[in-house]
Parts: sequence; structure tokens; C-alpha cells
Amino acid sequence: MKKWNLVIDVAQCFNCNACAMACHDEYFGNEFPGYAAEMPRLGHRWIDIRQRETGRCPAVEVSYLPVTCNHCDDAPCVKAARDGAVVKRADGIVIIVPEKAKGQRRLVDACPYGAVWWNEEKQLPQAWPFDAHLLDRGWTRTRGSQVCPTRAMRTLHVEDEEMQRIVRDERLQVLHPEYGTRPRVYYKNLDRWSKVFVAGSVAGVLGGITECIEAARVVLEKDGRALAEARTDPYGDFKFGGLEERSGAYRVRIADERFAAKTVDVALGGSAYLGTIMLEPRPAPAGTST
Amino acid sequence: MRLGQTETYGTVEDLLKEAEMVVFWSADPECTSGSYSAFEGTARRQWLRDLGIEIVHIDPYYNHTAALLGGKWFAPKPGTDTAMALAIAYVWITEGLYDKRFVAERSVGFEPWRDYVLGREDGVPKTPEWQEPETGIPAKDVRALARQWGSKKTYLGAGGWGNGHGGACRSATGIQWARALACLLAMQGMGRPGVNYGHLQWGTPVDLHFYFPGYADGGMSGDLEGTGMPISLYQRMPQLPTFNPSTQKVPRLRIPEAILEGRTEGYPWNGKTIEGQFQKFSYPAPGHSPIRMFYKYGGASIGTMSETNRYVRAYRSENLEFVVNQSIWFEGEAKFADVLLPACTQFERWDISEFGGTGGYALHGQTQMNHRIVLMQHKCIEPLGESKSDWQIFLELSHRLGLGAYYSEGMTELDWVKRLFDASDLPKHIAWKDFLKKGYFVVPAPAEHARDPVALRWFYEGRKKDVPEPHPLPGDYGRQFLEGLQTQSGKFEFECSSLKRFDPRRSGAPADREVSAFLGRHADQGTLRTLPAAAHLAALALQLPHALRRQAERGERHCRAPGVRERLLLLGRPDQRAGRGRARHRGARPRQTLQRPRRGGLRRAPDRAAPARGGARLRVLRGL
Ligand code: SF4
Ligand code: SF4
Repeated sequence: MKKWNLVIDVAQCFNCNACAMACHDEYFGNEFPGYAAEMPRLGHRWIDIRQRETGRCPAVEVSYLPVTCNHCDDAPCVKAARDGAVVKRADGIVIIVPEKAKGQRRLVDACPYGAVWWNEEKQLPQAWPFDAHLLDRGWTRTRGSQVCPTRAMRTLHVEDEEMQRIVRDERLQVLHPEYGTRPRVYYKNLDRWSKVFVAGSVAGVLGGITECIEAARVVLEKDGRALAEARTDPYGDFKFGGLEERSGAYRVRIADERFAAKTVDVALGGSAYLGTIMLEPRPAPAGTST
Repeated sequence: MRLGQTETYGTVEDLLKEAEMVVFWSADPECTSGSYSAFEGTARRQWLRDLGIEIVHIDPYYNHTAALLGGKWFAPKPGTDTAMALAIAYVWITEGLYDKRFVAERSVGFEPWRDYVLGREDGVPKTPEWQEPETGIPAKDVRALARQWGSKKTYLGAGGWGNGHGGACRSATGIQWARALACLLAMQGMGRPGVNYGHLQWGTPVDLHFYFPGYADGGMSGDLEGTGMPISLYQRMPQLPTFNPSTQKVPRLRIPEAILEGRTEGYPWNGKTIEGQFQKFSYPAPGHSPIRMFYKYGGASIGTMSETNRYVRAYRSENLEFVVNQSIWFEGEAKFADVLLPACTQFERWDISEFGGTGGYALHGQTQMNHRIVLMQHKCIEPLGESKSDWQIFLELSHRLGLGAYYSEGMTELDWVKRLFDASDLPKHIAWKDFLKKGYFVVPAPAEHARDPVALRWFYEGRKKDVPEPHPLPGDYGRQFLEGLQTQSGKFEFECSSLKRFDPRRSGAPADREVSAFLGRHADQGTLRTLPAAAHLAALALQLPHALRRQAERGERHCRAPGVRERLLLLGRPDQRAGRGRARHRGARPRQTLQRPRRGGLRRAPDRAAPARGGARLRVLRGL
């Protein structure tokens, strides 16, 4: 049967918070028996836009990660619940049943993603219920994907096999697969959130003036092995992305026929901007000096 | 009228088809697109990446647009962008990277501009090396940018709208930035395919021949003087006209001085003509009473104006005997009132409007939309508490003044909505009852062949103006109707004739005095550096109204040391700006905003508000 999935493209999310607002609009001041009790006015972010900055001026990347209940197929919250307070529906959606979950603070601790919020006033654990009350009435998209200006958030209603094909084709990932919870919320371009880069600006003196060096050949090496190669752009800039945080020593080799080859070593913590790398003139060939 | 902003017709299509590069200069449309069009432009800007159009951002902050679209980021120190622009012009002039035909045929005053940039006039060539200590941008990078820009068809997105609204022009020295950028685009031949103003925020191919009045077209006000009504709406919806008989007017920025000091003057913005910018106002106007009462209606001044402790002092002044505040919310400024008139929200009254319809102020704001949408705003509930609709409040006041019937013309709020509906082109497409029921109408897109021509193409090609806007007004053309720009020469003016007439003395012009604050730190030392000749170097047809107004209004205040310092504080001293070079995001606002309260009483002011006005009591007018 067809089941619900959410796909979020990290490269397209720009922190507009329209999805979070729509969620707030839907659940604050409204209750949907069997689906969700009212959300408090302040304090809960059932769709939570997290933010990461990496690099330094002028090589900076900012990425945003909307985090919500993953509607896990193997959900720890379902196991931790008493009295059937958390239901896994046949269409994949996980519902914390408001009528049954009162007082079960354990659900907040059970969720490894921090997606369950504690409602102090109602003594109720709450999470985003995938707008199931709307989907059950014929909606085809969640409110978040309806309002997302860049279509970073898509609602997919497909068979599990079809979903797995989409996961392969679009190289989707889930948050913390190592938890083994099998989330139904997938992320595209998750590298933008989790990986780091090495960047730099190449310059040299031409005709007595310091210029950006375009089209210099730059090779990134690790343990003597070339990982990637790039050409500098018109500003002399290069950038190698998709690297693991704290992945140790790298070597950057820069070659341009007008200058002597240059090597820069970097130990990668977070993203590294190597600054302006000045190329030196080639040493005069042997025999030409007098 | 569009004075200060450029026409934008057809630029979305032209940019996507022709341009190879877009420069976002002080432009963050994903965060501050400007006016009433939500995220409509966001979807279009995604195509820049799809098409591989090169993107450059120039902004002290790594803003949201940069974070989303990527591209090359330049982070000049705040307020120094003009130096960077001059250095770009320097590279273009010395390397021949500009549109010489356009400059020769369509502009005047290029020689003094060129001589100024090359330093022939003041001995200071505005080289990339010259700008480096000012902006913090390496000379090599500016050279590389200038070469890219000069050799690629490039759109210049200036400010949040992309056509010169907002952004760096709203700073102490913004006028110089605005003028320098206009000169840059002229050097590249503005109106050439792929070369124009914009960053896809304005200029969609919607049907602009469908009429629906804009937000400043006067509505039901009958105001033929202060709105766009005489140009567009009155003919379709005749109504009892109203006039304000007082010729005494004080621009909002100057209200505190008028109240506290009893006199003030300056140069308010004039949206109709270029020369109108030089029209001085002074208060008190001859024979008029001083201000004794203040009726506050609309957005809070304390939230939007500069040096807002001035407003706090004015509200508390004994010179001001009576304050009324008509607001939806009990915001900070409302607390300064003697009488509060609570207005209801739009959910508690009837109205009709168009998404992005800024007509009467900025024509054809609907070109920010992917589809024009006219909305029926239903009254969902009765007004809460003691609140009333603004219309009802004014009606009740009119009754007490014996003017009720003239004000309402015997109609209800819903009648007025229907009357506006009838005045628009809606009845040609949809019946009133259907519109009421449906709640909105999407204006059909024009056929491809019927789309509007591209902005400024007519000027680039030396034809008559062919875009659908009614300005300049017919009498403002220098030669033939529809020929040339609004400037006195009808051409693009690198050296601005009207500004030169206004004040030919280099040191005297308001623009010139602003220049001393141009680079914050120099102003601190009281030295005048850079750009002296820029006082009359400009492209007036493309000047930015807010920049000009602010520049003029701040001109005289500039002489006062405290004013300068306070302004520097607002801008943030470059050397103190810990946030510089770091990302700007909604979660953490840029640093200088956070610093403001520490210095002044901005945050504390509301606490002091209530007791401050002597015996004044805050009460809600009952029984209106
Ligand atoms: S994300 Fe947390 S709350 Fe949601 S299903 Fe998984 S474990 Fe349960
Ligand atoms: S609406 Fe879309 S772009 Fe905006 S925060 Fe949510 S996911 Fe991101």
C-alpha cells in the first residue's frame, strides 16, 4: 500500500520558517482529537529549523536543517509508550494519541532525535503528527510542503519499493541511520549540513601587480593520494567540499605554469579557508643566470 | 511615481534569457524583498542556479540570499561600498571595459566623472589599491570583479527590490552609493539585452493592463493631493474630494525637532519631479499655529525612524498638549498617548486589495508576483473588545464634527468595497457575488506576444518610451513627449545638471557634507576625504529617493558632532564590528542592532513612558 514520506532538500532550505509557521498555525489554538492536542503558544518547535555556519569570510557556507518527527518504522517511542499511547499507522504515520499519552514524559526521552516536546500545562508529550488529520480528509501534501517557497519540503505518498527507488535515484539520506529507527523523513543534499570544505584564494604578481590567478590547477591530497582536482575561478578561488569533519591532514598542491608550484598543508577540523595563497615566481632555469 | 527607482518591465525574462551574471549589491531579497510579495521572487531566483548564471553578492553580511544561492561574496566594511564602485569604474575606464557608444550617444558629463575617477581632478586615482584600506576588499579581487562585470552581460540588483529600493542607500552616505551604482550601470549600457537593473524580484510578465487600484491610489479617501488618485482612480470612481487646507507640513523624520525646538527644516522627498528634491520646507510655516496635538496613526515611529529617543522626548514635551494613538496593538508607542483608539485587525472588517499592489507610490509592484491576485478580505468575526475598524473610528469622529454623511457618502464599509470592485476591471471578468463567494481572482496572464517591452530598451535603442507607465509627467520631458529620461538633458547624466544648479559649490552641497561620513572613521577624525567632486556627479534619473531624502535631511545635522557619532553607532564602527564577515541569520540579528539599546534609552524608553507625560492619563475612549 502507499505510505507517507517527507523529503527535505537541505540545499533548498533557506530558513524562511514558513513550514514552522504553518505548523504553528495548524496546531496552536486548534485540537484534533485522536491526532493532536493544542500546541502551546511558545516553546514548541514541532518543525525545528536548525542552523550551521561553517568556514570564514569570504568562504562561508550556511545551511539549515528542518528537523521534525521522523515517523520511524522502528520507532523507540512506540516501544516506550504505555497503554498504546503511540500508534504506528498502516500508512507509516506515527501518532502520539493525546487522549492516552498524558503524563508519559518517558516519550520525550525515548525519541533519539529530540522530536518530542513536553507540554507542561497539559502534561503531554507532543510531536508533529504529519498533518494526518488533513491527509485523512483528502489533502495530498502537508501544510509545510504546501507553503515551502523553494519546494525544499516534499510530501510523497508512494509504495515502499517506489520510495526506495527514489532514495537511490536522488541519493537521499536519513538522520542518524545508526540509530536503526528507519525514519520516513528523508534528506537530500545532507552533505551541506554534515560535511566540511577546504577553500582558498590563489594570487600572484603579474606585471608588478598582485592579481587573482585564474585556472590554476589545484589538487587535494590525503596520505599522498589525489582525492580531487579543481581549477581556480576568475577570483583565484577554489573549494573542495564533501569532506568529513576532523578528518585529519590534507595537502593542497597548486600549479600554474607562470609560477613555482606551491603546497599547503592543512589539518581539517571544521571547514578551512586557507586565505590568499601567494604564488612565487618560478626559479630561473639553471644556466640562464650569469 | 517612480522617481529614484527604475522601470522594471520585462526584466525577468530578459535576465534569464540574456544575462550571464547578476550582482546583488546590498540586496537580500530572500530576507527583505521589500513590499508585499512574500516569497514570489524566491522561486524565480532558483533558476539562476539552474541556468548557471554567475552570482556575486556585495554585502557586509553573508545574507540569506547568498546562503541560498551561493556565488562570490564580497564583504566591504559597512558604508564603504562607494569606494568599491569607484574602483570598478577605474578598471573599466583604464581597460576600456565599458559601452563607449552608449556613453557617447545617451549620456552627458562623462568627462568630469572619468577625470574624477582617474584622479585628474583631485590627484587621487580611485584605483583598486586606493579602495582596499577603505573597504577591506583586496585590490586584486575588485580588479577581478570589474573584469568579469565589464566583459559579461550583467544585471545589477541594487537593494532589496533590485531596482534601487532599500539597501545601502539607507545609510548616512547612501546617496553616494546610489549615484555611483547608477553610473556603473550606465557605463555598461543600461537597457542593452542582459544589462539592466534587477535580480528577478520585479519584472514578471503579468498583465498590467488589467486595472486594480494600488495601496496608495487613495481608495475612499477622496484625497486628490496626497495620493495617486488624480492619475488613476478618480476617473473610475468619482467621490467627494478632500483637501488638507493646511500648507504646514512636517516630514516624519523631523517631527521631534518641530515639537521640541519649535522649528525645523529640510528637504523632503518629492516623488513627482527631480527638481522637487530641492524644495525646502520649513516649520513653522508662515502664519500657522505651532503643533499642539499629535494624532498618531499607522506604523510606529519608534520602531522605524532614526535616533528614536527624539520621539520619546517629543512625546513627553510640554509643548505637545494632546496625543491620540489609533493602533491595533498596544505597542510601545501607544503608551505615550493620552487617548487610545483601539482599531481592529483586518480579520474583523471588510476590505478588498491586491497582493503586491503598491500603485500610487511605486507603480506596478504586481510585477513581483508570478500571478496577479485580487483578494476579497472577508470579515471573519466582529471586532474584539472595544475595538472598531479604522473606517468606523473616522466615521464616528466625522459625525461629531458634523461631517459624517460627507465622510461615508451614505455607504457602509462593504458598500465601499463593492464600489472599488466596480471601479476596477474585475467586473469584466467576474460577477460581484461570485467574487464574494470565491474570495479572490487570479488575473489571466497576457499572451506571449502581448507582454510588455523590456525596461529601458527604448532608451538604449534611442526610441520613444514604450513601457506602460505614465511618468515622467508629460510636462517633465525636456524635448518631445516620450523622448529621453526625466533628467534636464533627457540623457543619462554622469554630472547631474539639476544638482549642480542647486549648489555648484563643492563644499556646500548637502551631498558633499555627507561625504565626510562616507567612511565612518574619517568622520570621527573630522577629516574630509574622498569623493569631493561627487557632489554634482550623478545620474539623477536613477537616483534613489530615500537616499536623496535622507542625505538632504541629514545634511545640516551633519554639522553637529553628536549626530555624527550617534549615526556611527547605528552603523557600527567597522573596527568594533565583531559580527563582520560572519553569517547573518534570523536566529541571531546582526550585532549593531543589539548594541543600540545599550547606548540610548531605546529599550528603557517604554518603561518611562507612562509616568513621563505629567498628568496625562491613558484611557480608552469609550462609547464612541
Ligand atoms: S522521530 Fe522520535 S517521536 Fe518520531 S517516530 Fe521516531 S522515535 Fe518516535
Ligand atoms: S518552508 Fe521550506 S525553505 Fe522555508 S524553512 Fe521550511 S523547509 Fe526551509
